[in-house]
Amino acid sequence: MNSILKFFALGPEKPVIKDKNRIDTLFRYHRRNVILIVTLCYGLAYVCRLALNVVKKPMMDAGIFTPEEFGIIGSMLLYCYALGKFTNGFLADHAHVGRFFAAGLFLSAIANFGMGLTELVWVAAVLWGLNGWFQGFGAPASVVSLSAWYSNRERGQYYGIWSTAHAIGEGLTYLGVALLIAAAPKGLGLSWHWGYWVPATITLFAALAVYKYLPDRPRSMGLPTVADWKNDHGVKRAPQEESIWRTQLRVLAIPSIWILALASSCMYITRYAINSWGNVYLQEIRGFDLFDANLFIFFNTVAGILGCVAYGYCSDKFFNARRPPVNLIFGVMELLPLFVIFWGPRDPIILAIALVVYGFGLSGILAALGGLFAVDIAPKKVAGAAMGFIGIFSYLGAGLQDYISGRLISDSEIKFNFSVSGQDMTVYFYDYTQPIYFWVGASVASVLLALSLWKVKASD
Amino acid sequence: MKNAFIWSACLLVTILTGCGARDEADYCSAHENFHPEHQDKVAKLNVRYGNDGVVDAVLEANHAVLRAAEDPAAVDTAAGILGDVNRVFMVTATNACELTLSTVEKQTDKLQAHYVFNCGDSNRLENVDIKLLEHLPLIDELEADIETSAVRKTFLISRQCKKPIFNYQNLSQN
Repeated sequence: MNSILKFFALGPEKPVIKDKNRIDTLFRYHRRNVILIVTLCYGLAYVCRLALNVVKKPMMDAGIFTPEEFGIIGSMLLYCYALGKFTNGFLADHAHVGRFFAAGLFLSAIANFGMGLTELVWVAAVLWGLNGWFQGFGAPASVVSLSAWYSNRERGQYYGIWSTAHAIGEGLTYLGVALLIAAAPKGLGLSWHWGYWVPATITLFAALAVYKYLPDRPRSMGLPTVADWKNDHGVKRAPQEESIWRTQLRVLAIPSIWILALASSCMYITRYAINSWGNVYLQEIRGFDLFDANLFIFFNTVAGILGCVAYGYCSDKFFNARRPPVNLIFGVMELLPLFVIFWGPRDPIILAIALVVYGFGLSGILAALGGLFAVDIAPKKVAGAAMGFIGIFSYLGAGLQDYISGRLISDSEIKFNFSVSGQDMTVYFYDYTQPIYFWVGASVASVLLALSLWKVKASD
Repeated sequence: MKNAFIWSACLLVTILTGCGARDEADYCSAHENFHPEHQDKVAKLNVRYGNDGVVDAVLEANHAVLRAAEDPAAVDTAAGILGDVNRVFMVTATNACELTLSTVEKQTDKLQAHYVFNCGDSNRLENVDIKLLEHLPLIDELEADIETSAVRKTFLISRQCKKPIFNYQNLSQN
């Protein structure tokens, strides 16, 4: 056990190398590897998190799991991911991030291999829950690595590059996995099992790449800190009058933090509703085939990359860093397209445009509710705690959503059973009316809650 | 690092194309290529279930489907079977549904069965068991057009295929 802990532990600090040219060479080499590896491999890891969403419809049609069972399985990942982000954040601070992240990827791949082998709901729920916890290794490890290898003035842009990883991952999932299991000629027509096994195989290679190329901290490698190397030091803090822990607890007494947490939780309901059930809805109710349904969901994730960037730019440039007016703009951009998607004309071009605008607005307001606005409201030295608190609420909302949506869809089920030569062929019919009211209602609640903070000002 | 990734990608693509389940002549997976040849020899089932809780089902089987030319008694036999609705079409809801119409009509060139169940608007329909192909062995393929208040699906049930066939219409031929 000790040897395992030692293997994963942060390396001891080594004496700094004297040769400045060697230092520069090593920093350039490792920094290039860090941004490439954390972005690419975090994106690849996403496929092992989202693959279930693409194989859901074929598995439901085959009668393997009901929508309610999928809701249970899906929510297990989200609850465990929320827990994982919290615990693994603490662990990552003490770990060799390359080995830590690689272990998470490896174990997530194993869980996905297992998912392709089971048709038992309890086994799938346990495996997918574990997968959620393993997936929670990635973000803390990536952020710790970025913090260690990029200095204050440059970290924002590299964080922005890394942030595109989730869109890369979602794109790979909705297009890549769909390509595997969609019927020919649009896809390879493989069985749903391969929707897990191929991402798992690719993630094993990603784990190998992370293990080999994601370095420990600079000081563990005989390099100076990046702040020293770049001569980019932060503000020296005065001795604290109260402990960080006490200040973190005081964050919980700020009413606007609770409102923000609730708003983010509601928005995560809609976000994960579209991510988890959107493609199933398009296939079940709108008659899309598997490939086209996932392609349309992909449109909204790509638009999300632009939404994040646009929100930050607009709020800083046009509203003097005041978030509430921009929250309103992006909230409306997220909400109105939902009415078009679910109740609007059945034209695929209008649907595609609505999904793009929705994705753009959603990403922007998520960046605010889960990030920027929280950092504004909370005391700066405990911004992390505020974001962590809101993050847990957000994923609890997402997890509850998956179960509730699955249950509502299951409750509407009508089975048409055709007996042919002693065997049954079943065609399932579902009604998405109730879940849609739930998803859109959550968005309305989120926008209203965010608007209630119109007069809240940023704190120091 | 670059070479390792390139070789890995090539290996993965090779495995996938080798494992692909494409069979271009497959009757079930590419049925849209075969269906036009026999679409006039397919029985048709039309079911509507509305918000009023009424299940309205119409089955049509033309004489070619029933092979009346080979056996003139086949139509009467089929009519007798369809006249017993509990043998061929059963509806299960949270509470019992009332059968309000059950007719079998022999028309010039086809047989038409019409069933109406009134389940009530506060009663939830759960299952519809259709045993047409079980009790009418002369029917090889059934074209189903089923519409609920939320969604409409059209598909084929064929004795030769293990799963329903959804994409059976070759749109380029329409």
